[in-house]
Amino acid sequence: MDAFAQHRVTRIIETLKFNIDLKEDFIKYPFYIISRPFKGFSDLKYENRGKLYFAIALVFLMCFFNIYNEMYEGFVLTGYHNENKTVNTIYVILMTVIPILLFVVANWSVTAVANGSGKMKEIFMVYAYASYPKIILSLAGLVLSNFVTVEEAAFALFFYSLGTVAFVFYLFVGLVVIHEYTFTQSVLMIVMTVIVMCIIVFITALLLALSNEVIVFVKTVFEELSMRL
Amino acid sequence: MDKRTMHIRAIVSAFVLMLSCCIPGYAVSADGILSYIYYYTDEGYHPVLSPSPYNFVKSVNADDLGVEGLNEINSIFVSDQHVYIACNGKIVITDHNFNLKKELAGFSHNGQEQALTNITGMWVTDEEELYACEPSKGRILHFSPDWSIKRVLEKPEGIIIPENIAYQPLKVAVDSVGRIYVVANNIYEGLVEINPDGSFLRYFGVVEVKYTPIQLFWRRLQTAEQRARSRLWLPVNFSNLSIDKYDFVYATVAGSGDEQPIRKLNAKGKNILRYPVGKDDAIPQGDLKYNHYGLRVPYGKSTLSAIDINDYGLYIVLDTKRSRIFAYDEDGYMLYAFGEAGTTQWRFQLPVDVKFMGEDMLLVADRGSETIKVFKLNDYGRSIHNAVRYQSQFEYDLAMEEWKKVIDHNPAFQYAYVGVGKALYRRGDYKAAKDYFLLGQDVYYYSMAYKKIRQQWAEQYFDLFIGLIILLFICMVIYKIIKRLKFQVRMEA
Repeated sequence: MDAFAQHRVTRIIETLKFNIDLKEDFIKYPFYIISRPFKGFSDLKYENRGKLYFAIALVFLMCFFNIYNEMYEGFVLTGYHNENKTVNTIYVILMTVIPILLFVVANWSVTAVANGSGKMKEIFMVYAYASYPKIILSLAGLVLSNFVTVEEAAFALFFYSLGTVAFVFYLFVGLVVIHEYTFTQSVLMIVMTVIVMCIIVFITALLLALSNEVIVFVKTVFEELSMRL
Repeated sequence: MDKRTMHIRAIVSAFVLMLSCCIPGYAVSADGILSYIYYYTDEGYHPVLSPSPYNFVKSVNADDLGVEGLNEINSIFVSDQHVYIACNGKIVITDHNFNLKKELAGFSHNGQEQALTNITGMWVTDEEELYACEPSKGRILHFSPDWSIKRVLEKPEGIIIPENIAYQPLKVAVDSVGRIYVVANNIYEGLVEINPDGSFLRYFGVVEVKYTPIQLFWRRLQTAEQRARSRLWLPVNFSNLSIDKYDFVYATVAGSGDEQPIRKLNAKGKNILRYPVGKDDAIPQGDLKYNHYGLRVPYGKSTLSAIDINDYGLYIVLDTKRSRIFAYDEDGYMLYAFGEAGTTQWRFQLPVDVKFMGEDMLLVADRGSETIKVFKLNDYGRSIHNAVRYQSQFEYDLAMEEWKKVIDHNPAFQYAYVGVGKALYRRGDYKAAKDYFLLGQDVYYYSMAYKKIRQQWAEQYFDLFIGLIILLFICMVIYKIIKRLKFQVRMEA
C-alpha cells in the first residue's frame, strides 16, 4: 500500500516535470500570442499549446494584482492618502473572480446555441491569455503612479487604459478564433454575451430574493409546528 | 432622595460649574454653536464637527437700541464708525457699540417731506455717504455724511428695460470712484452699472443660461404652443453683492443648480474667483453635501443671499436656506461653516445679512427674531483668520505657527496641514512639506514637493548613475577584447 502510494506520487511528479515548461508556458507562449494573436490563439485551439494551469494561475495573479493595486496605487492617482489603509481582500477577490465566471458562462451559453465551436475551457483560457498583457501594463502603471506628479499622471493612466484596450482587443481576437466566427457574427456574439450576463445577474438576484421568502416561510411553519407540538 | 443630599448635590454642581468658568485657556467654548468643516476621504467630502470659530456675544434688539421696532430687517452695513440697520420704513444708525446715533425715517426732497418705505439694500462709502435702495419707489437714495439727502437716483437714463417691468433696485454697492452697482428685481441681464453721475453705463457680469442636453431634446419635441406655455428660461439673477478694497465686485447667485454661485467679477465682468487647484468638486458654494429630498426640511443646494469680504480676501457667505455661514480664503478653500436654524439666542430664525465688524466681530441680521446677532472670534477662529492674513501677506512662517494652533484645536482641518506644508516648502524642507500635503490630501501641492524631492534625488545620484554606465561600457569593451584575443589564440593554434 505504502509502496503503491509512493509510486503514484513519483509518477505524478514525473508527469508534471515532463509536461510543465515554465519558460514556455509563462513567457514564450503568452508573448507569442501578444505578437501574433491570430496564430497564437489558433495554436491554443488546434495544437493544445494553451495550458489550463496557466489560466488558473493567472486568475490568482489577477486577484493579487488587484489587491496590490488597491493598496499601493499612488497618491497622485487616488487623490486620497491614508497611512492605515485597509483593503477588503474578499471583496476585491470576488470582484475579480465573479466577472470572469459570469463572462465565461454567458459566452459559452450564447455560443453553444449559436454554432460556436469553442469549449468552455477554451473560452476561459482565452480570457486568461487576453488578460496577460493587461496585468503587465497595469503593473507598469501601478509602479509609475508612485513616481509621478500631477502633470505626469497621464503617463501612469496611459498604461492602465492601454492595458484595458489590449485586453479587449485580445479577448475579441481570441473569441473569433476559437469560435470560428466571421467578424459580424462575433460582434453580435459579444452583444449577446453582455445581454446574457445581465440576465444571469438579474435571475441570480431574483433567486436570492425569492429563496429568502421560501426560507422565511419554511422557518415560520417549523416554528408554528414546534410551538404546537 | 431626601432634601439634604439634593442640597449637597446642588452645591457641588454649582461649585463645579463655577470652576469650569474659571479654567483659563478655555477660550474656545463652543456655546453650542454648530460648526463643521468638510473632510476629504476617498468617498468624497464629509462634514465633520469642529469647534466653533465664533463665540456668541449678544443679540441686539429694538429695546437695546431704543427704537420702536426692527421689523423686516433687510440689510446691515458696517462702516468705519457706524452700523447701519435697514428695516421697513427706517434706517437705524448706531456706533460700533450699538449706541443709537440716528433713526432715519424720512427726508425732505425738493421741499417736500418723504417717509422711507422698505429699504432692502445699503452701501456706505469711505466718506460715510450712504446709498440706500428703495425698490417700491424704484430709486436709490444718496445721503451725505450728515445723513441729509444729497440726491435721489431714479431709474437711470438710457437703461434698456422692457416697458412693463418696473425698475426695482434691491441691493447696491459703490466702488472707490463712485460707480454704482445695482442688483435689480426682474432684470436678468446682470448687475446694473451706473456712472457716478447717475446715468446708465452697462449691464455687468451676465449670468449665462445653461441648458442640459435633455432639456434641449425635449424642447425640440415640443410644439410652438407648448413652448410658449412652458416656463421661460431665464438666467439666474444675482442675490447680493459686495465690493472689496481692490474694487472687485463679489456677487452671489441664489438660483438653484448654478455651478459657480459665488463670483468675483473683474472690470470686464468675467468671473475670476479662485478655486482650489485640482478640486473641481470643492468650489465655493456653501454646503458640498446636502439632501436632495426632504419633507418639511430644506433640501437642495445652499441659497446664498449675502456676502462680505474682509481686508485680506477672506470672504463669508450666508446660506438662508439652512441658516449657515461659510467662510473661504482668497484661494477658495473653505475655512469654517457655522450656525443653524433655531430659536435659541445664537441660532437664526431667518438670517438675511452678514457683515464683518472690525477684526473680530461678525454681525448677522436675523429678520425672524428682529435682532442683530453679534459674534466674536475666539482663539480658534482668530488663528484661522491670522493664518489666512499672513498667507495673503506671503509671511508663510508666521502663518505656519497659526495653522499649527488651528491643528491643535481641530486635527480634522485638512487645509491647515496644507498651510503648514506651504511654509515648509518655502523653507526648502520638501520631505516634511510632502508629508503635510499628504495629510492635507492636496495632490497639487504634494506634486510640487515631490517634484523637488525627485529632482534632488536625481542630482544626488547623477554622478553614480553616469559612473555605472561608463563602468558597464568599459566592461563590455574589455570583454570584447578578451573574446577577440581568445579567438586569435585559437586561430593561431
